Amino acid sequence: MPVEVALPVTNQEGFFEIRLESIGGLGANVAGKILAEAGVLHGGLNASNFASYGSEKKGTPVKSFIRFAAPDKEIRNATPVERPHVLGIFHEALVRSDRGVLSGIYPHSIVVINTRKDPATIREQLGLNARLVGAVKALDIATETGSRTNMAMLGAITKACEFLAPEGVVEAIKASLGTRYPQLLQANLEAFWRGYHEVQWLELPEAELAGIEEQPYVRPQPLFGYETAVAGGTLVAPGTTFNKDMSASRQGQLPEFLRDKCIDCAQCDLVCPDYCFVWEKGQDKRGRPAMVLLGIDYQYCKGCLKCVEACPVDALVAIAEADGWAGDHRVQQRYSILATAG
Amino acid sequence: MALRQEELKVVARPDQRTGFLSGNEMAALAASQINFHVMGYYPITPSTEIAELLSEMGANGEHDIVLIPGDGEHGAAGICYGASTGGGRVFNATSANGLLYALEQLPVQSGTRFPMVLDLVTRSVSGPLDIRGDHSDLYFAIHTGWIVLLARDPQAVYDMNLMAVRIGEDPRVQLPVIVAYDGFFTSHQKRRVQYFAHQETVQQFIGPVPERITALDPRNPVTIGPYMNDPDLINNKYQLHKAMEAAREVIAEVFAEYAELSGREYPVLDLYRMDDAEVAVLLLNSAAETAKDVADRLRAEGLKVGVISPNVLRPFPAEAIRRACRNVKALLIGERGDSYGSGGGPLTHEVKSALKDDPDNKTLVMTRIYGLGGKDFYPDDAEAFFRLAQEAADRGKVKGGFDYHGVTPSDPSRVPPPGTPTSAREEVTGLV
Repeated sequence: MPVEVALPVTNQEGFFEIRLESIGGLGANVAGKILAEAGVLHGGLNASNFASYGSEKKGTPVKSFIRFAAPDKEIRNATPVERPHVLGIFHEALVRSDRGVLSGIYPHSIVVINTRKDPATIREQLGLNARLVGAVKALDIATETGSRTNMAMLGAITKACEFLAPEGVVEAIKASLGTRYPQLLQANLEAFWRGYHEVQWLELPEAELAGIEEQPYVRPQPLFGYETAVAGGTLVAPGTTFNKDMSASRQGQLPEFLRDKCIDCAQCDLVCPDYCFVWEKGQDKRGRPAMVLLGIDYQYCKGCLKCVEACPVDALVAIAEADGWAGDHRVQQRYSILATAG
Repeated sequence: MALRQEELKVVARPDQRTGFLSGNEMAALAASQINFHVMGYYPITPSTEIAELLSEMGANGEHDIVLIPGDGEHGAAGICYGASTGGGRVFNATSANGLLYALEQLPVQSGTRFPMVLDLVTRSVSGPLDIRGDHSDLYFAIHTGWIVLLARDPQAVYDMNLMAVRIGEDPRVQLPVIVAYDGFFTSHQKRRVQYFAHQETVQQFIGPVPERITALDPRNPVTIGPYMNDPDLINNKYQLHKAMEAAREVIAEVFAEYAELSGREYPVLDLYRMDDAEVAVLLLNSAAETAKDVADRLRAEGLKVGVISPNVLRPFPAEAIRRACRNVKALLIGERGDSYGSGGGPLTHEVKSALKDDPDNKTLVMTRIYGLGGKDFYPDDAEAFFRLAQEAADRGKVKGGFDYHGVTPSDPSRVPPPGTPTSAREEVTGLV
């Protein structure tokens, strides 16, 4: 029989709530499922878990929700977690592209974030106004262990949920991934334990905590309503993805372009799923008219690194993305519509 | 020493396991334990997972169900109908436009009286495209002559699926059965659940397929679905009506037997804090669960509120609704689907007509269309419903009998950004 555990804090409805903010492909959904399952099957709690559903494309924002409750409490509420006691951020760029990621955290909440920075720096940079901030190098741990970001994050989040025994989460990992990917189980467990042990904490003193303003959750509203939308839902203003910033889809790496090695063969552009490569009319070595590659517009780069694979002369190399690097090295596309589109 | 009746029952219950599973996972688990002969199917969100999971379970040797993908939902429904005429125990799962594509087959199957189980994972019918959950598909299904059971959470999905087999195959009924549950809210949310540890428990409960007409007995050749015009068809439909009425008794029996076996009770009409309720909301499936938590909170404030929520939609529990509403001053019916131009979804009209048959009933009834296209039904939405009904009860008059809840007029100052200009010819060529 599972040992009964007490939740440290609950909301008005009696729930301890967790929200995971991620992008599709990092495994936040699986992490949320494992965490909740550990609570139910090994932690003596009741729980529910689900993810936000949309097109579920790799690289687009995704949220996973977990509700914990006392074992005898029925969980009926099926709506998203708006005020999380623990907020897990799988990708720090998410906070920069959408402040709504932080919406609804309590001053006493715990924020766990995947970052290479120390907790004080990331707290300052992103304005993480919470009692406890945990910084974990989940991407590095994943790369080093041959696992995925979600396992290291799961370790750090488990640490934040002191009412859950990490051994129970390990059992849930084994049940969830052990049969399907047995060859990866060791790597996944190693990443979990490293996340659990290596997460660095910054706790605010009581005095400062009192100064944090409550941030009520702001429920996103439709941009257009029944008075302003075109009847029938027809889009009369042609849309475009040209304005879309895909940076948040990158998972820590991007291609660096080395002009002096490039032979302008355009193999990179053939494999690029987006509009990254910027060309200009110029001349080839013999002075004939030719298209010349100027560089990469990182606004469109999802970090898939297919171009690096395709480049026959190593003029494109994968590097770890440092803060601000992409902005400094971006070569902007020159399509005329970019000048006019809002 | 004599054991009390209650204790004896507990001792006699078969083993159950605790799991952490979603509605679709529970549907697949139930189907696997039922071990249907055939599943004809065609994938459509959010029901796709059921066949996916069954396919995986089949590969692991967990069941013998023959999974036959159709060339579309219409074909899949035909596969199911054919398998049922062959005497098989048959299963299907679909949603939204998939159901509508198959729709014309549904009355054929009920009218010719061949049972099966169809899990309808409710989703908004397209136009514009929306993949999330509402009841606009379910509202088409209730006119097809199929029994409709509702499953409000993943646990109920499992339980209703097991019971659906028994109800539909009962010789007094012999009708196909739909088990409807909310797309995403129930199909994809994981909850703590219980299920029977041993397949034999399920097999014993459902029993062998009762003898019925089959197309596959060469010694007894039959013609299924022969031409039947005006002198006869009305009699066939009257038989269907009688079968639907007979289902009331069968459903009650099966629900009671299942409660003994599992310890989980499903009344035909789920009533929450309705004993002395003066104000009530009536909702289907997951939204009703959200409203129950809110009812608890408002009860603590001293408001006499309750929640009414059918577990069975066909046959419609009119008598139970009349009884539940006897002392209700105001009732708000929330509908996740509209019957455009009629002043309410189908539920509204059915509840109102049920109450009309009670000459003493004085309940004020109002309707709010909510949650279309999967728009979340938050506790504060439920609270708004209770407050509206309470207001009507206090004033003795309904203000706005029919309306939508949760629509956004939007900020008129916000105008769409100018559209993207079309590209110049040179840009289309890529040579900029």
